[in-house]
Amino acid sequence: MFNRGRSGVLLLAALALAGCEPEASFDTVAEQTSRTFDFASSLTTAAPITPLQPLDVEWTRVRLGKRLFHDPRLSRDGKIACATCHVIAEGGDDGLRKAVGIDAAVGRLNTPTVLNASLNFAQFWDGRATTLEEQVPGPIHDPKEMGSSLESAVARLAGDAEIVARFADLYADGLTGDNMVDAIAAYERALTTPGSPFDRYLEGEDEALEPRAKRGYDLFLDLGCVSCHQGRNVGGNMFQHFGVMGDYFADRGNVTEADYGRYNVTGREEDKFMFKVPSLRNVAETAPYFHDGSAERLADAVRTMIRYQLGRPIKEEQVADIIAFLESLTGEVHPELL
Amino acid sequence: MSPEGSTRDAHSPRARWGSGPATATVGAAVLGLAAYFFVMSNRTGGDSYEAGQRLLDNVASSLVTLDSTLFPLLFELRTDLDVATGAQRRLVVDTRAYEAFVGTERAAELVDTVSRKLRLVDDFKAHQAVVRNSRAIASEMIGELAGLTALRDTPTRTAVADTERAWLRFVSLGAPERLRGLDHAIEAAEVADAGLVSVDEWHFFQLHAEAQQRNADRLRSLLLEVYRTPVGAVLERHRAVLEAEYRQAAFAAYRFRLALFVVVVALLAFSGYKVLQVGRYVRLVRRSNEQLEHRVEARTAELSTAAKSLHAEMREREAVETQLRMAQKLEAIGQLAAGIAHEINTPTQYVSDNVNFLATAWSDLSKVVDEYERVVLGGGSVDTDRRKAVWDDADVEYLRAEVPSALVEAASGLKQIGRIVKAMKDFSHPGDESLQPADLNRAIESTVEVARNEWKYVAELELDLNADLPFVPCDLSAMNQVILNIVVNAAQAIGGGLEPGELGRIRISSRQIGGRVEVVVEDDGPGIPEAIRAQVFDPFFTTKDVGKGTGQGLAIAFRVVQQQHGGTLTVGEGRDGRGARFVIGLPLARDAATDAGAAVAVQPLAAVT
Repeated sequence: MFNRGRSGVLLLAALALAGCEPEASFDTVAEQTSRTFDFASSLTTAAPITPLQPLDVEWTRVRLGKRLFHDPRLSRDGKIACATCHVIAEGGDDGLRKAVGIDAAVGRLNTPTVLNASLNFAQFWDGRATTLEEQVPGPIHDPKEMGSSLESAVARLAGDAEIVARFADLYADGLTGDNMVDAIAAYERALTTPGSPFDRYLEGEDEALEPRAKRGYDLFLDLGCVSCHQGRNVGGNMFQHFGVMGDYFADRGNVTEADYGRYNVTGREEDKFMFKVPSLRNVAETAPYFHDGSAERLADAVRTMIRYQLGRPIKEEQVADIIAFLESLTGEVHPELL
Repeated sequence: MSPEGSTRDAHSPRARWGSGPATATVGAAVLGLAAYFFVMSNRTGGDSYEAGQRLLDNVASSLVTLDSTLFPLLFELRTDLDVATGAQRRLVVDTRAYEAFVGTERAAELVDTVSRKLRLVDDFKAHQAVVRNSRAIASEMIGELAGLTALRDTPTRTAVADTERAWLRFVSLGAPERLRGLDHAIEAAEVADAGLVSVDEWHFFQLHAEAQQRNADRLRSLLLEVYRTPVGAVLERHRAVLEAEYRQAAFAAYRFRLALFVVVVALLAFSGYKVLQVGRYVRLVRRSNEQLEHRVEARTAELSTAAKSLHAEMREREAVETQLRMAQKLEAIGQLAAGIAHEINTPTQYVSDNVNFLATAWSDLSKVVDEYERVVLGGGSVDTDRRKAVWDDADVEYLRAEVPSALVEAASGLKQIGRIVKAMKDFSHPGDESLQPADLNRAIESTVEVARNEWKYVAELELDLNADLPFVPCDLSAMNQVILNIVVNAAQAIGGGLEPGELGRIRISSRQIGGRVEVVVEDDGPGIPEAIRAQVFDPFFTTKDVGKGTGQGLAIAFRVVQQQHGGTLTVGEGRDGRGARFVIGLPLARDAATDAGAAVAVQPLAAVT
């Protein structure tokens, strides 16, 4: 009798666990490593970069998230939306050296793109957020970005009958801060860019890549770029020091706290100047580059990377070839998400 | 033991079982205690233990997965970090789930250790990229350098070749102890050719050779640190804590189970005792029941006798009732007989008178006829005087005037008699008690006719019969009697209070109201006082002098209408607040209820007939 009771309890516990397993906070990278880890297949040599597949989009939630993402009422002065800095149609960032937020406040860092952000293993340049759900409230609360809070955003949206109704349709508890975050994160998760020429090339469409880009890809592999920019997102799955083979910050000068990167999160001396390696997908559209926005053009960024990260000579035509390859990484956002 | 004694004993268990509030409270308390023990004995903490262990299992499995993904990176079996990164994130999520389950404070050690491990993994990932790259770049640079210095002097070529060999030895063996050899080779090369320092390739080679010296060892030690991070030990500690808690909870539950066992055993013992007690009481009760049965049998026999006699009485009463009705009918007929005789007598009288006159007239006329025969046919002499005398004797003029009217009167008298006889025939229609559609108007008319002698000296009777009245299902003979009884009653009521020469009024009307037919008999007599209205239909109730009425008329009328016909018979004040107003209501359609009522009323009568 007791055994039966306990197995029932076990079952319940298992169900409860299955229920509370935070699916939403599981970004797609994590899903690849399921509980049934196949060690043998993890040893097989795969291509360093793997193509993106289109996602199944949960449209109602994503549409609501899109609406919120473009809603300036989330900011204190009602002028700044998420989309103000993350222009989806233009690479998912703002094209500025450093972000400009509420009251024209200039931020400390270059705006990272929101495109394919869900495929990054951590969010923000310093990787302080593990999931999109942790990331979303960041800019809303940042006094230099939206200068608001989830609570006041909820209060402002509570007067909008349509928004309230859409929340009520989707969530049992209707319009709340958590549900707002959930919807925005769902939208962000849908913002992947499959179908780039390079992805098509990887999937066997040889003519999708022009010869220069193919040469650029070979260089990308040979020169060592791919050591950090690899995986499905061509980056975004590790931290790396900025200035492995040269002191970038000494050369640039004017070092600020923002340049400390990961150190600001962990407080470990060895994490100083360490940043999340950004994804190179759509990189041709996200100028200027680096956390400080110091590289205006892609060629500048490539040269800086070769010099400080790889520590090797490079020829100008090689830079051009690499740029041709990088341009082939531009994919497309689903038109309904624009 | 006397029957009384055993009965008293049979009642006593209830008192001893105690339905008092004190016993109920104790019982509820014991049950409450048992329920409490039961609930507590199930709180083994097993569910939370299982859940916690399961969460730790998840952490452990993610840990193993992560560990397994790292060394393929060291040996460059894999060039993308997605799998390792996925395992990192899985570990974060699993650790968070456990933290959410046991609380931040209790999970702190595990969370810290896991975070430390994850940071080391991040370091390892960063370093392995650098080490991999710089090894490749250094190899590339030293290869380029060999080509560049091919034209230089022998010492330079030798120094560069020595450096390349030292590098290859370092790289292929990967051994830290070869680092010194590489250092020496680089120094020797720079001594041999001072110009080498300004060559880019040499610069980059040196840069990456140094990076290798810095990082290669570090990469290995990082991986060791990752593997040595005591997450496994911490996990085991957490498991142990969970298990200790579970044991503690299980032991507490075990004690409650023991207590529950004690309570249950006590309850069982108490119940057993009570069952034995009840058994004794049951035997007592059974014995007293047997005695009770005997008495019940005796009483049943008495009752059955009584029931039989009651049944006989009922049958007798039914028979009497039937006889009573017959008697009343005979009484009414007897009463009517004199009147009818009188009614018939009057026309008989003048029929008789007229016939006598006609006989005389005929004898007078026959003399005239004789004279005519003698003169005209016999050829006798015509004696004018004699002829005149015969004619005058016969008074032919008078006869010529009177005979036709005498004939008319006689015929009318006979017609009158015929009408009365027909009315009598209609009235005494031999009823078979069944309800057949019949013309109520005709029944009223014949009844009025039959009873004429009863009312004509006291009242004028007015008929207001609805010519379109439908046939009503009824027992015509019985209804005749009903109408007669009411009309006679009315006439008698009027007659009681009349001044000489004064006539009252009786009005009989018929009408259809919806699904029923009403016959209304109104008189302007003294009426029925409200106080006795309810009694007028009671058998033997009468206000008449002894000998004038038996008090059965209206009672029978009531039973016929209500029971036999399923109708209504009511009495009230007359129209102007004077006299009495009887209303007979009969249903046109016979529903099942009326049928049943009719059957009840009819059956005993039919049995007698």
